[in-house]
Amino acid sequence: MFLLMLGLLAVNPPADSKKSHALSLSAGAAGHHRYDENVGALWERTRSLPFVQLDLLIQKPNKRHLISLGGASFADPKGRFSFGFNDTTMQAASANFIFLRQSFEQLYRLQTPVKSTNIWLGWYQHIELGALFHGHAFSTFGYLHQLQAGMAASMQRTWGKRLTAAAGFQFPLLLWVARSPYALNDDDFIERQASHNDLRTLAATFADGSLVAPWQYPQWRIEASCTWQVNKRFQCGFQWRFWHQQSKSMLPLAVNEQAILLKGGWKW
Amino acid sequence: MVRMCMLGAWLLLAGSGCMQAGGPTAISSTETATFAYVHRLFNERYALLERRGGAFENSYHVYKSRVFDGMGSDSLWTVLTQWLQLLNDPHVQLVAPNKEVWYGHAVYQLRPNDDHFDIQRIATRLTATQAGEGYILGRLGGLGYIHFAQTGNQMENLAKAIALAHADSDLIIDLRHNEGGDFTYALKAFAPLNAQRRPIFSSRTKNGPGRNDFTPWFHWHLEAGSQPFLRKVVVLTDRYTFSAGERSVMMLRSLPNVVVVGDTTLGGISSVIPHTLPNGWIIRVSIQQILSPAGEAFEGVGIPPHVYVPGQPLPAADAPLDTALAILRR
Repeated sequence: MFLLMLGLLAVNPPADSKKSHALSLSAGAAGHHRYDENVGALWERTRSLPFVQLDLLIQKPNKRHLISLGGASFADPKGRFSFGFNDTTMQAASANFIFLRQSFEQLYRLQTPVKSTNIWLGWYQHIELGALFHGHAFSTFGYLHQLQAGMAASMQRTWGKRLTAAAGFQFPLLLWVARSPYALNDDDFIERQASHNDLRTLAATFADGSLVAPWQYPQWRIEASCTWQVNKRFQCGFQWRFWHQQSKSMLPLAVNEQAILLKGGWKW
Repeated sequence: MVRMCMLGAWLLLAGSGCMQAGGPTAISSTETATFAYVHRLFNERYALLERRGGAFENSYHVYKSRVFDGMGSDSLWTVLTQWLQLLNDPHVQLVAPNKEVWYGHAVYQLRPNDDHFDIQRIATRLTATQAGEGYILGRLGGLGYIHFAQTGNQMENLAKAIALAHADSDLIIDLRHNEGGDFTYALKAFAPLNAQRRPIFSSRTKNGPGRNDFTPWFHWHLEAGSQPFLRKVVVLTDRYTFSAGERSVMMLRSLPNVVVVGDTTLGGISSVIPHTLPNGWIIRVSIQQILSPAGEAFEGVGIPPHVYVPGQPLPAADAPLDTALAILRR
């Protein structure tokens, strides 16, 4: 389906690459599926509502910049199951086992148009900070952060003066990955979180990452969007995106995440 | 516009269909697969096989022979808990839907002598009392007293107990029935009791599936406080002093002005992680080995007090506390 859309956009007239800028705010729903042998032998499923994203697009005749900030808190409100335990006063209590993920993303993309086509090519830089929480009452904390840079391609077509459709994909060539250690709770991690300051723990865990070859952690992201120009200044539309990651380390990891967002923006 | 909406819906459906595509295939959730996974998990990640795992490892084939597909989750629960019981590790716990959590240690299952300690009875003897979640402090017989039920941010209240005692009296830190938590809170809270940086314990963590795959030993120290409280301190312990509560005892017993009074601690000192089994249950696995600065391993045996005074059934007097008061009044 996605390839069909790419084909449809590619055979159409060249992109409109006039100077224009837009600031847009998007919100919507996202689904997160994760298999992580660091924490278990199940595909975990969780969802986020809302998923929020802020985009700034600066487009000039021969290049365009996209700066994007997004964040989400993924949790299944019902939890996976409930169980009983004795609380700190040895009173019977119950809790739901939950899988929670909190994430923050920053993306910068720089692209230039390919002559006489609808195609834009360039590179991107992306930071993802992800905290994971498994359980309730019997819980653990994990993390997966990454900084990546790589290739980004997209296609775009405008119908009339109002409707624009776009589709694109990106994949990394350079990766810095920080992931919870084999046993999650080793002394280095305990020491890093001993300040009980979230920002310090985040910085310390991020710094503990390492360079990873793209073929050891293959991943790609595709996206498609439609934008309707309501009037000279205001635009609205939707965006869909899908992101796949897979680690081939000692403890296998695979993540599939998709989001569908409604957006409203200001153009000038 | 309608076409665009249809396109969006198509894209979403196409994406949903491949949410689990392109990744590892989940391990089978049958009873035999779950049992085999538990066996592999403990072989690869459990750090205490040498210390606690003799009977557990020797009886693997006995328990494996009792597991078959279709036996049902209740029967699997019975086999697994009987097998894991052989570790007698309080950190090993099994969690399943709509069941009570199973604790892997006889003391936690049977709770012998649980009623030998009653914080409410102590509270009636305190003056200038302050209390909050997981702690209570005050003056007791002219001394400072504080009890911690957990090892967490409530340990910051030790400063209040020190302030209460500082001018003219000694201090009792009661860690009986301390169920643990995060020992790094204690690391920060106990620095004001310490005049110089000193070693408290060393630990190493599983970092691979091999039997001897461990991180290098990590040496933990208690830092010195700026104006340390150097008067006498009695630390009270019992069989329910557990996990990070026991690490707290290891920190305090390194101080020259501390006397530990009461009963031996539970002996479950390792750090622990929960892990999801193929059938969705959660199991907790101990992943660290801990040694005192003198090289003693208290895992499985507990930390002995300097002065052994077991508790007594209510309504008898609180013998460990009264011994602490007598030591500090000498």
